[in-house]
Amino acid sequence: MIRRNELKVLIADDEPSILMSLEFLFKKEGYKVLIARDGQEAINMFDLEQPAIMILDIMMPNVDGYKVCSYVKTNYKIRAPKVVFLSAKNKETEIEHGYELGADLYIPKPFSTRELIKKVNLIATDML
Amino acid sequence: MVYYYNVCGDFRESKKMNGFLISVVSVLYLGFLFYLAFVAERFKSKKKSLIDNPYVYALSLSVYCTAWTFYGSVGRVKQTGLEFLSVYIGPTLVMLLGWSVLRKIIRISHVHSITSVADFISARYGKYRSLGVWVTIISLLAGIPYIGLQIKAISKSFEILSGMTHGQYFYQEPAFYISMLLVVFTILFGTRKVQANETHEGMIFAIASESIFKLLAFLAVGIFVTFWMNDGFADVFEKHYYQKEIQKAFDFEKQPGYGNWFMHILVSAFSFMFLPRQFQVAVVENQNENNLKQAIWLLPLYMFLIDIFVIPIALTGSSIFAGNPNILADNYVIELPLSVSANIIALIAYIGGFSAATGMIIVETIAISTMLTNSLVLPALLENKRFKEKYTFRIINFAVWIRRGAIILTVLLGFFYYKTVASYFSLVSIGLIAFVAIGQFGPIILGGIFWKGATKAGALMGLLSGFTIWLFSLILPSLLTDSSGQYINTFVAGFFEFFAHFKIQGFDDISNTTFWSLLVNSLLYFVVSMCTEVTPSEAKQALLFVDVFKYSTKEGQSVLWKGKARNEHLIELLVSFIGSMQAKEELEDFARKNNIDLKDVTADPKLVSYVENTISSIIGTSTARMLVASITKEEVVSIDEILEVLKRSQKIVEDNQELKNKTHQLEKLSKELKTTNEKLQKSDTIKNEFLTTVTHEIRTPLTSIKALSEIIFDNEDLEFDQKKIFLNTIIDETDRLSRLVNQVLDLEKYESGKHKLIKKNIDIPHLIDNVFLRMEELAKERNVKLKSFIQKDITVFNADEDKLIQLLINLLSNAIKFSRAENGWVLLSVDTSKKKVLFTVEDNGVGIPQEMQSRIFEKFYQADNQNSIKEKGSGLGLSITRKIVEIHRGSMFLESMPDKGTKVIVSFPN
Repeated sequence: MIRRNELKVLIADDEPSILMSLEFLFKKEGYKVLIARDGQEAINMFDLEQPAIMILDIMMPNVDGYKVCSYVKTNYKIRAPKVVFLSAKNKETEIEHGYELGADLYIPKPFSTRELIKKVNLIATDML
Repeated sequence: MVYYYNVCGDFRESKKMNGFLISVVSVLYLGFLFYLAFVAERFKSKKKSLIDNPYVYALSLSVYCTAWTFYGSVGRVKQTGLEFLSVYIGPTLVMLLGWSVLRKIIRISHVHSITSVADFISARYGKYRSLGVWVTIISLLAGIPYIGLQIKAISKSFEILSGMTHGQYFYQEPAFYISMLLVVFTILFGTRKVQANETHEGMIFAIASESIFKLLAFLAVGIFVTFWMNDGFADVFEKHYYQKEIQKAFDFEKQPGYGNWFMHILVSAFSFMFLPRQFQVAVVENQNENNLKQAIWLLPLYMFLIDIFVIPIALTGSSIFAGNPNILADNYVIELPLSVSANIIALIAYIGGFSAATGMIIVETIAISTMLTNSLVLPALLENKRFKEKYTFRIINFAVWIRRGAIILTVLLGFFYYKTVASYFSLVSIGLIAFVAIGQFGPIILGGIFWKGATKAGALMGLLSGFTIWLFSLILPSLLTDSSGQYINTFVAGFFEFFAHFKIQGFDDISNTTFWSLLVNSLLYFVVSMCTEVTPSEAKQALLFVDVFKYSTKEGQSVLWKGKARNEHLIELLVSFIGSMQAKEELEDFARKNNIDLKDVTADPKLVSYVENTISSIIGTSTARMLVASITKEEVVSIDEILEVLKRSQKIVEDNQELKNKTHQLEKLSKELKTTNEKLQKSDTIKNEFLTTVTHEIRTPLTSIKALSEIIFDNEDLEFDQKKIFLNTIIDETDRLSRLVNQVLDLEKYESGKHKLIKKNIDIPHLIDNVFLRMEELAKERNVKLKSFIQKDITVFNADEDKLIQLLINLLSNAIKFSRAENGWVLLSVDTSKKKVLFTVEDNGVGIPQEMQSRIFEKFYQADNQNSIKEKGSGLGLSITRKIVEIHRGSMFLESMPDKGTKVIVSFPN
């Protein structure tokens, strides 16, 4: 296995149960997991920790996932993190909007845990 | 005091006033008239009209009151008592009851550029020239004696006032010079400018002023006689109502009957509208139809004022001058002040009579000269082929000079009549005789504007028959008798004796003639019209006249002309009348409005009509018709075509109205549509929002359940505690999911009205216990203190218990969820006020931001809301709550301050 424990994954969602499951999943895969409960917390955490990958919900209080994504993609052009949207918003226009903002992946909810891990692992491999 | 006075004026005892002084005053007065007219013209050139108002209009109509009124009314009272009023009742009735007739005539005349009553009649009957000629002749025969009468009044009043008699020859009479001054005035202000649609601003203003002078003068004499010579009206009757002759005049029993009244009212009503001068002031010079509205009461008021002192003057005069048969009642107005040496009052009376006479002469002369020019001389000249070829484009020069000549001729004829023929007729009869002649226009004008079947043959027959009867019964008997009152020979005597059989008992000569002439006139008019066919040109005019309000507006009329015309000819014709400057301006304006190219060789029919109409206003309709016909190749327009065009134009008039209505309706409809659409869009948006929310809300627990299940499935070696947490979460999320489904179903039930309301009497304390029991766990979890307060006297409330519980739980759980972290409390209180039961849920939680308050009760409102505080159910709770309130016919209020707390009040009718 590659040194995944050097990769920080920031998970932002306002649903405690989803946070709970994602935290478990990524920790098990060996990532260093950071947790944010809304958009603003995610941005603060990002500025502080500079995670390599962000798993973002879109509908979050205060600052939504789109805003977080465009913030990190514009402010950190050189070492911008990979952004994975994980959202119940799965209209085509919403997905397109996510990619327009620079997202690397958009996975609609409800998602398959195996699929999610596989895809995120691929992204991580690319980065290493 | 005794005066010797002889009408023929041989000698008299005392000189009353200096003749030279009276002459000077007369000339000064005329100078003042010139000045007034001049001022009005000056205003007009500055685009301000002194005459376009109802007051001047009504005063100008009062030219009806001539010297005959001023002097003659008193004379008539002495003969026939109250009957003198009949000729004022006629006009009063016209204004009060017949104003719509007058308005129709005015509208027709404005639309068709009518210049005189002759013009009106010939235009109505297909612009038929002969009718115009006969109307002109009759007007002349009636008008000339009438003018003569005015000159006689001026002359006599001058004689009485000065006590001088004039020499035999015309040049020895002041009246002659005054007549000539009037000719100058009339030419100056009547023909100074010849312009299309030009009204005689100066003349009308002067005439209106004269109406004021004569009224004031008569009132002055009346007040002088009634209140200075006597002690008021009652005194007049006490002192002077003793003569048998007068008493007889005032006694209806001894009068011949009411027939005279009726006939006199009838002819005076016709005359008020159709006398040449009346038509001139009422119709041709009318500036604005709306002026008529005020004149409806102003003119009767004038009539009332000028008649009010007639009887006192007549009674006083006939009493004072009882022993002196040489003083005629016609002259009492001047004689009475003179008898008590009130020379100033007498002079005022003279000026009043003078203004009444001059006003009539001026307007009558203008009207008659216009008729002579437009309906007689010009058409006759244009009949001559060589004249027409040579002068078609120079006719305007002729028109002006012919009109000036006609003015001089008319006044001279009047003067001649006064000097020679007048002695055959009494002063009073001249006026009424003229009225009967003019009355002959009545049937053919009224028929013409209300009956489409009338023909020119019928009109001509009616007019001529009435005229003939008038001539034979009112004019010839006077002319064919010698000085002793015998007919000049036996043949003539036999002739008139035969006609004497037609004399109706109780009618005077005037009434008798009126009756027979109008009867025969109307009958022949009707019968001949029925027997003759309506020609296309008659039909066209009939439609345009009778249905004037349907087809024409003041701005434009239907074009009913067919043929070929060249633009250059039309333009040349127009230029010859109104000058190249004005023609250019008007043509360009017209072409622009009607989308016509003036550079085309052939002219548009609209332009032909326009040119004809414009020059009609200068030289009359029949002359204009002849001129336009001479420069164009016309085709006969069939009745069908006319009807077609008129139908179209009527449709346009109607459509315009309908369009206005339709537009209004459409506006209203589109407004409604817009509102409905907005509502629909809003509800659509709300539905979409709802769907999105619901799907999102369903997906969220599903996601958790799926992810956690997969984790448990994939990780067999999961620690027990961990596994327990995950499984517990799955159970919670499943509950959440089923709650959501229930709520959506509930809401759908309320929305579609499928819900059932099972009302029963609820014990309130018990209800609250029940609710609190269910909330206990949540409150403990959030560390919130639940409190309740129930007003003692309420114990029972009729409602659906399950729904009420659901409502309270929704409100309470909302309050608990949004409570503050420390020392949070929620208070449920129940209260009554005015047959209402109030449930209040109050908390000291985070509150709701102002901008959200208005929206949180909206159905499905949640999407925006949930961004702020992630403490949610489905977002449907409040919607359901609201529905429950609604089906109980209650209402819900919200008060909230951020960080202070929220208060929700639900009010139910008990």
